[in-house]
Amino acid sequence: MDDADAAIAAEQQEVKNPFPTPPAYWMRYTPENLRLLGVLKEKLGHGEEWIRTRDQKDDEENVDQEALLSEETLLPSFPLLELEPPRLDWVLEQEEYSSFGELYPTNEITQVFPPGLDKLHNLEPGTDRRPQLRQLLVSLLNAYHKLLSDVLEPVPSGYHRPPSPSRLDAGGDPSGMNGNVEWPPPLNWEATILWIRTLVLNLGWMVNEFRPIQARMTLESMMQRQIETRREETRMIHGKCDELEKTLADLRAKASTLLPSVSDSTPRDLMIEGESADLKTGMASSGPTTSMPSLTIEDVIAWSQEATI
Amino acid sequence: MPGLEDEQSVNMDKLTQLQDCIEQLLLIMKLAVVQLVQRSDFKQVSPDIPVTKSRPKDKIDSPQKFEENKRELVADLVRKAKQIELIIESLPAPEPEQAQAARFEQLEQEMQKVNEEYQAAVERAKRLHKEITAIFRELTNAENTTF
Repeated sequence: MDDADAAIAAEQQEVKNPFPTPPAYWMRYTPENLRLLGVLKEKLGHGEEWIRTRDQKDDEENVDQEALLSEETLLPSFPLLELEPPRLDWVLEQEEYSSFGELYPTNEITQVFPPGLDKLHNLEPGTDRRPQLRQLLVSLLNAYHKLLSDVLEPVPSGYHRPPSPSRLDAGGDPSGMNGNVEWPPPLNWEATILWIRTLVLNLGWMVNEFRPIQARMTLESMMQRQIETRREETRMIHGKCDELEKTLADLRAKASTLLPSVSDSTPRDLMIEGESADLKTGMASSGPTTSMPSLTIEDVIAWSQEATI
Repeated sequence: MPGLEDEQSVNMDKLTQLQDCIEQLLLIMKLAVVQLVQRSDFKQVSPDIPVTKSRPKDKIDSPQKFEENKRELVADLVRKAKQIELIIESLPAPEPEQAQAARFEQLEQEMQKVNEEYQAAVERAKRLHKEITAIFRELTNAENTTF
């Protein structure tokens, strides 16, 4: 269908975009469409199980949504059942899913030490890594020192060809060897370079091992900060409430001084101290009766001007 | 837990710093090797064997330049290696998992308690708000009925 094709084309164009927009079919999820989907599902009469485990062909052959929803107007152009979430078992079968135009495998492997590389350290999770890191660094410097002298060694006569690719797997061999892999003794610097490479890769690997620890510490400090923020907010709210209550108390005091004829059992006081249910009775009783103290409008204005909340 | 706050801001970069420093160290190494291999002229080693070849002058550093570069490279190398060592030193010592897990649990409980207190405060504010609006309403109503 056309909007799916347009969506795919747009998606492919945006693959290189660092902030891609979501796939275009998000616009299908209008409240109206969702309501239609609900109606369709009811009409179909199948339970939730069927919806989740239906086959592809059930969708296309059996569901004729125009017929079923014939009394609704403005049906969308795509089968409404596409609004359902994608089938997890199908995704798992295919063992990959596409996200923003790229395919990702479903069976994610966590980082594994590259095979074929000598592991120069032991990775028990409890032990301290730092001396080993230091050892690696010192070894690296030593190897480099050796390299400097190796590099200055005279080349044995007749040794014209560059080293074979099987010995040094850095890039391609430009001269194109004619299949002669067993070249007599490898130059010293080649071996040294390989050793340096091993060292550096091990070093990098060990540094990465620190990342989970770092993540945990970050999490911990984030939680701490969150707790403190909450406490701070609670304190502020309580402070504000205290202020307000004080103002209220002042107001009451003023009210009682302004209206000395009022006893404690006036409807107004009742209302202040009671719940909102009492509020209604207070208001009802104070409405038509004249037992309400005469609070003039000047008093109210004066009060509103001095109460600074 | 010593200074978790500043650890959080600096630790985030430490590992990246470490990785960057390692890269820079490698770069310095490479530059030094290139210096030795590609930018030096032939030198007479033995008094009997004359220098028969020489490299084109534009690809060569003069002896003074060579000395300079050498000093600079060596200084950089040593400085970078020292930096790396310092950073490694400052990385956190490992901690047994249980202690950390216990800390996390404690943090969570504290979090919940603080959240409850916060809720209580919000409730109090709401109640006060209700009271005050009631009073206002009553005031305005009262003044209406007094007319």
